[in-house]
Amino acid sequence: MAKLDVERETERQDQASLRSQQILPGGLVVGLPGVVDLSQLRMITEHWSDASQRIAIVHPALPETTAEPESTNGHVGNVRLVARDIPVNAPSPLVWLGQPSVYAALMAEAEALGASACAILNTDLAALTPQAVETLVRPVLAGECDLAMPLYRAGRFDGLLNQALLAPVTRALYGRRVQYPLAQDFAVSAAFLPALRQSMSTPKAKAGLLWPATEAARRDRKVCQVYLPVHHTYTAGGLDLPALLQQIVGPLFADMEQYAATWQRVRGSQPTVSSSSDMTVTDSESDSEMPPDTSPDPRPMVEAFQLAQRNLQDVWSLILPPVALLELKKLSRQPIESFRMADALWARVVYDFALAYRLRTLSRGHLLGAMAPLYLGWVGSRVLEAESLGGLEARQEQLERAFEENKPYLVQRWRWPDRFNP
Amino acid sequence: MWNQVGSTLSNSMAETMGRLASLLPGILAFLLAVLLFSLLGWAAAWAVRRLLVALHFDKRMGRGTEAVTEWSPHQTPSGLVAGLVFWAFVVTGVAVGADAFGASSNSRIAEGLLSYLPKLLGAAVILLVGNIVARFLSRGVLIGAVNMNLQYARLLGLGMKWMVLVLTAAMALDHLRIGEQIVELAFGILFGGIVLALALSVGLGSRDLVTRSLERETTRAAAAPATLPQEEELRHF
Repeated sequence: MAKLDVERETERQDQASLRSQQILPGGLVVGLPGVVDLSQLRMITEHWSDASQRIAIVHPALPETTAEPESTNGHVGNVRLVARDIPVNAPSPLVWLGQPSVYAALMAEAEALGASACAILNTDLAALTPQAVETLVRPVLAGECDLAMPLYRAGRFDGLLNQALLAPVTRALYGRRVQYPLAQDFAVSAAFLPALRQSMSTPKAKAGLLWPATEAARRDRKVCQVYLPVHHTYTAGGLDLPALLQQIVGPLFADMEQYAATWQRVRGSQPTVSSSSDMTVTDSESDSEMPPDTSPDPRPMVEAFQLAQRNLQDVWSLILPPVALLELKKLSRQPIESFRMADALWARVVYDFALAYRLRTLSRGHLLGAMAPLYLGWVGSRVLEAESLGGLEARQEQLERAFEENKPYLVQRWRWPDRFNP
Repeated sequence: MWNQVGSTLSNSMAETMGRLASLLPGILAFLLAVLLFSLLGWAAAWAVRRLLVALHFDKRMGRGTEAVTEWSPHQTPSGLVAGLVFWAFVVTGVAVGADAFGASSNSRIAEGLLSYLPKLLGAAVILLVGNIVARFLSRGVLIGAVNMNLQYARLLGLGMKWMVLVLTAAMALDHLRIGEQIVELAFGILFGGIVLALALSVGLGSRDLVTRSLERETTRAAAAPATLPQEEELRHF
């Protein structure tokens, strides 16, 4: 099956190559990894007619137009709309999570077109503006980096899973300080495109998620971050928190298992160059981002953690070492006013769960379900801290440093899970 | 008279001992067959495991085995195949041993034992599978209930575990044809009782919950026009 898939993909890439015959040398490819609203897309691209360089916006053709994908192609000035027969599998409930096979097909198309850079954007088209695309690809085109990741303007309680887990783990393990490792908007240089595409060609990679910064770190490519004044509205698609963790944290842990040999060699972390955007914030935008009057109520989250502490002891004891269990027990007895989850404790808990995921200590669905109340405990702690937070960036830096400092703990437990069990 | 009683007893004793002794070669043959096939199975499983590891079988299987690993987390696909090979040899050994046992003795005891052996094996498999299912479901219910903030999560988990275990025990006893009617009746009463108890506890417990929830909604609706402070939203992603 896997061989057939690879053959089909290669065939598709060859066809793409023949079809295009590098009609866009030095140009830019913007890839949209999902089915998009064509009328909206055409309307947006009409405003791009004065683009200084040649741009091809590549997207999967609508299912009803797959027989004649070229029929949806359009041409406005320097901007071409290219619909390709890229199979988009049944979407997961989290529609905004791109499928690696679609990413790979878009990148193959960019390679075939001979693009100098490829920008992949979220299918909500929020970032499909000349300014946003220009901001994203500028450092790549200038040769400053091979991968440009976005920095979104976020509130104190936006992207909590990013803050709690994805960013700290990516930094500690792969040594790259990227704030949004699972961003849906990023730009890739022509030199890095083939390697990134190949990384998504294995069946295992196709079943997971694409972590561009991890791939860049593995291949020692330069990563930079750019401020992208774009706001995406992510929905949980009716999924509850444990299911959300399974969709996002599961693949993160699976990658940890796959690239163990790589991250065990990495020491410390490198800051990523951040370039600012020239775009100004309009009054209406700044008004809409005024912080609300009060923080969310942390009580339900802390209570969820305390309930789990009373009921999930048997399950947690399979995953966590005695010291962590004791610390969690102490934490659950704290009055809500002084409820604070220490960064080091949270970092070790995450590492222990990653190890249990690898060792298959218990069913992976159950494992991530048992992690949800702990994560809620962390969120509750963060909400309680919010009043006294000096600066979000400084606090986040502190948390990520705790993950880095506790990496030797992970390495030891990973190598000797039976011998090292504090 | 005592002499006659004594001789009758000694005769029947000798007869019984003789019958038992006639079973011994069969039992020995049975044990030998099981032992031999277990050893062969162990060797075959080892070879199969080595072969599958060399062929990167686990990696090739990829996502297709998620369902298997969910139920049996400690097993990798290659481990599972090797285990299957081992147990196939053991079952073959039992079958061969049983044949040897039957051939070496024509007594009714041997016949009865032989006819009962498959049932015993079936009951053992039912108990094993039931135990795994009970553990898995109980853990799933417990974690799910905790994530739903149910205060009686542990009770639900335990309830699920015992329901499955009771069902398994009843199935195993039924398979062995032990107390068929009684087991069926007892199981019906016990299982129905557990379900009724759970339904009553959830129903009665949720009455207050629904009342409180409605009260809260009413209060909230009444308070809505007032200028409540706007609460910042939590977004996980």
